[in-house]
Amino acid sequence: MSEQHPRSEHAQGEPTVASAAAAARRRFALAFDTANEIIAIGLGALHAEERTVEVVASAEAAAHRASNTQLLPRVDALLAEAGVSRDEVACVVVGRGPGSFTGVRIAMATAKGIASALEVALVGVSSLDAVAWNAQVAGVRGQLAVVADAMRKEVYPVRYVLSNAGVERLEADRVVKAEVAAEELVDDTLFVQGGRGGAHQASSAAKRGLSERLGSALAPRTGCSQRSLPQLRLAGDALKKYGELFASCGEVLDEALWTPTGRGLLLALQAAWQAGEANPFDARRHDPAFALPVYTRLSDAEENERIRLAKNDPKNLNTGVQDVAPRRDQRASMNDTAILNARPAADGITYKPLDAAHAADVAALEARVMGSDAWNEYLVVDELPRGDRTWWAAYEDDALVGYAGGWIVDGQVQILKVGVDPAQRRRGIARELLARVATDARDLGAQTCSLEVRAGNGGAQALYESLGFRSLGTRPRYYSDGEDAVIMEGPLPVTERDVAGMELQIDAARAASAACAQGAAARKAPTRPLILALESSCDETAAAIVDGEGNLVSDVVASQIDFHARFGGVVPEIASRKHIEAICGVCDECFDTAAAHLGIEKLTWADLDAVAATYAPGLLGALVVGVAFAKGAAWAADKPYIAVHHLEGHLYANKIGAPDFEPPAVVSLVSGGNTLLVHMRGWGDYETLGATIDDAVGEAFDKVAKALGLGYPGGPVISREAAKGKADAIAFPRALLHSGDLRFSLSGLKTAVVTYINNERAAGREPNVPDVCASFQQAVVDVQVAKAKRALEQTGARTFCLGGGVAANPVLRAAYEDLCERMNVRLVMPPLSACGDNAGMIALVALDRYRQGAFHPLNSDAQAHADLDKPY
Amino acid sequence: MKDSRFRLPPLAHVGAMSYHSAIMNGLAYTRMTTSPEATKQLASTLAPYLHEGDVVVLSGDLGAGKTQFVQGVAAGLGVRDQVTSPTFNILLEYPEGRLPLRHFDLYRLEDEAELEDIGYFETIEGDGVSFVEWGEKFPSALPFSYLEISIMLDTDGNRHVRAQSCGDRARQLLFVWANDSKSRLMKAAGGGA
Repeated sequence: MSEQHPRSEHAQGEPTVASAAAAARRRFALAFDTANEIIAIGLGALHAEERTVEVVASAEAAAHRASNTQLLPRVDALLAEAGVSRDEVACVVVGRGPGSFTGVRIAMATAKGIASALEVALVGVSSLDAVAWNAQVAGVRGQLAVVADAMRKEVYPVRYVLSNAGVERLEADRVVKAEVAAEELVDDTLFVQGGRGGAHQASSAAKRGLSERLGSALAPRTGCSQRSLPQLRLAGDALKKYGELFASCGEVLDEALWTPTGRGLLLALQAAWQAGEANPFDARRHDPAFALPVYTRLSDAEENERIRLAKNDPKNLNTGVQDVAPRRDQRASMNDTAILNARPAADGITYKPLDAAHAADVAALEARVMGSDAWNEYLVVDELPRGDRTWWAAYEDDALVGYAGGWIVDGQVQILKVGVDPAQRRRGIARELLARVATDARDLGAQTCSLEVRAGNGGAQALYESLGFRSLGTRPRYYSDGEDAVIMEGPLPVTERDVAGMELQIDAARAASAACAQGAAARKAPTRPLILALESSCDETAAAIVDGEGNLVSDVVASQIDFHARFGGVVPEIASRKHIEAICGVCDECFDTAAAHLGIEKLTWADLDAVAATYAPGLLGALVVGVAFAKGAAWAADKPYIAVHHLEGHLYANKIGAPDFEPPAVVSLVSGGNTLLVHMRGWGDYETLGATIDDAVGEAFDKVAKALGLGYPGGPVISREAAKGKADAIAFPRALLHSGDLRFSLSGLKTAVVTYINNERAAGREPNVPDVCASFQQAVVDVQVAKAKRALEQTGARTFCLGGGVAANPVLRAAYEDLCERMNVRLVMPPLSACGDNAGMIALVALDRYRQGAFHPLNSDAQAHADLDKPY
Repeated sequence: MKDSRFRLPPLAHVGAMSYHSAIMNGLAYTRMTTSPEATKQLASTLAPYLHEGDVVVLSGDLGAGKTQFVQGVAAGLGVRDQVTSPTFNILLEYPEGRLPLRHFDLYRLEDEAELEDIGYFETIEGDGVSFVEWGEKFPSALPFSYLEISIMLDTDGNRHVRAQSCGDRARQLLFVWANDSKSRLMKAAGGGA
């Protein structure tokens, strides 16, 4: 396992004649970056023998927040101009930031879509490194600081040394106040001493090598006064805003050198290739799922969680949520729900973040497996609150059977410990623990992994080699008993099908689909068209494949609900981030499930006829991921792209349970984000009869649940509690019940419930939770049913349908059953699994669109809001 | 009335551009409106004076008419799309007017870090004008200059709209807006010079 055998193009697959020929055609790297208000695109020819990248084309254009509309058309034009076709692309290179969150996400999702569909490597490079390389090739030498705008008077500063040999990065990505960065550069010690925090860098062989090289490069200058040092140069888009602030730090380079270029991205790839950190021809090593934006810090919610984990506050892990209520901080936390919710894997092992309560168990197991190098309990406890550490534990029947910890330093995670009970070895526990640590480390900015292993421990070395690690050498007499340590380095050992730690639901809706009853009949060639649809408008990352007969041959949902439950509500920051982490895994699973159902060995993007995605409405940052990914994949596979309105998907979801369902109908859509009544005059012909003027029903359920300390999501909890209470116990308002129109208002009801709870508590009484829930729920149901009745009367429609997550509420369903029976109207309710957000319903819309030839161009975008009544 | 002056962190030591260096520099005007239409009319008179990069922070109870105010501005900018509450979507954008209009509602956010993910900073520092509901939740995330509009509902159902400037650009904006006779804004007692 060393750099001695350069991999040929053929290394990625079994060499059938056809695929070898196809692989030989693939000899270009396509690179792009939209982390700033610039779209940078590069095309490079790869020379495997010399590991060089020859720049064929490099183009930059101002984007001004429009990178999602412009990126793909520009990529397409660049390739056409260079006369290179898509199937000649061997590798996609993407700028991972740091930069604008939206910009990075667009580039990343597009790159993942393209690389997935082309089945090629996706290599992420730092956008700042691309700036540095661009300066180097432009002839800049010496010290360079790249300062990128991080908004809100903060910058991302990174210092480099540029020489004829290339670019040396001196520090990891971070975010600091602009004035702090400027002060640091004026009063610089990094360049003089040749490395920040030499002690911890020395703990990594790779980093030590770097500082040694830097040390020699800088040696002649050491000890000189600062004035005699070669002048520091500055680049980066932060200079636009803070040019004056940074003027005293050094010479500002020409503005053309401030932002990434295609050329810079390709040179960064070449450097990584030559250093053995990347291989553009290795699609397995650079699985598109692995590439992620640079996160300069975890979100604060997660950070607080980490601090909480370190506290050993007594809690009843068996009663769980009951226990949460009396606490002052009402946030259901990782301790209370994630640890509780952790379920054993198929092999009976449960993986949880390590908490202080189990530190003694870890120390005990350490003593058994690590001998004289074991850590004591104090050392373990000391690790847990640290922001740059992540620790995971494995349990079998509540007994600790393994643990692993990592330390994230300068873009690399150093595995501090991996220990597994000797009786439990060879069950894949170490591998899984490493994957959990690696996933956290990746979120904290790590790109590679390093560790030390005993020279005599062949088993462990074989494990790491199988994960792509290679030996960097030995550290003599490293262990206290005199044994040598082998230092190994490799890619982050995240699991292959990574869906960001979320639960995958496969085919929940499909199972309810009447069409799948065909079973064996499906084992013939699929009916065309085959369309894959993506849904990422809020909580769920979902993918589904529909065939020409309207059968959902695969339907996969990765739910973030569990993830949100840790933080007591939809946290958009986390929601959007998880989509980009999960989307490749969800698609892979979707293809595999479809292939199994179709009775074929493999299904790929090339087998599809179109790619669809939800484009509106929802959280923009979440929608953008699905749209950019779908467009990227559609372009790469040369298939049409179809944009679908999320709410139209909910209308189509009624087909899943009742294939004979046909409009006209009145549809009630009630979810976390929507509350409206739609008159469905025909497929594609809708009239919104009335909508909420403030909060959505689902939102009101969540808020009331939160006020009662019941956790998230609110719907199921409140409905469970309500079943035990009296619906007429408390008179809550029924807003707009007699307004004479079909509008809804929920904010007054929500305020009334919260006020009631507060008043009860102020009076020293604990509110009767079941009664509050039952009375609140009844107030919601009464208005919903009354408005539904009016809508049916007004339109004369003979069919009534439900959609949206709240449609799962049993009391609401029962009330509608009763209403429809009284009015002699047909009631169509989607199966529970199809009520929530899923991609199956999006795929069904896409199928109709495909037949109408209603395709969308590569410059179409996501929208937070779009009128359902307007055709699109 | 809430006064965000007292919740702002102390001045940063460098530059007048700091997020933390906001100064309520005095100008304050009020007007009472007796109908939603009047609120919208008032808002529409602000539209011609808005520049790229302007930020307006809206405060007031639920139902006070914050969204109506934005509807009035949108009409004044020539936006034809229906302007609805952004509570669920957090950010709604209306690109087709004289200036791109961005309407934030930070009500559902719990943590300042989430602002990054929704592109808050890159949006308010970008092109277009931004209206921010519940901006006072994250005082340290307010830009260096913004116009604060607070709407209070009294027991008679009348709205008391108060406009106050923070920072130079907002002061200039408020000055020209208040000088437009159609706005019918009155100098407030509380506002110094």
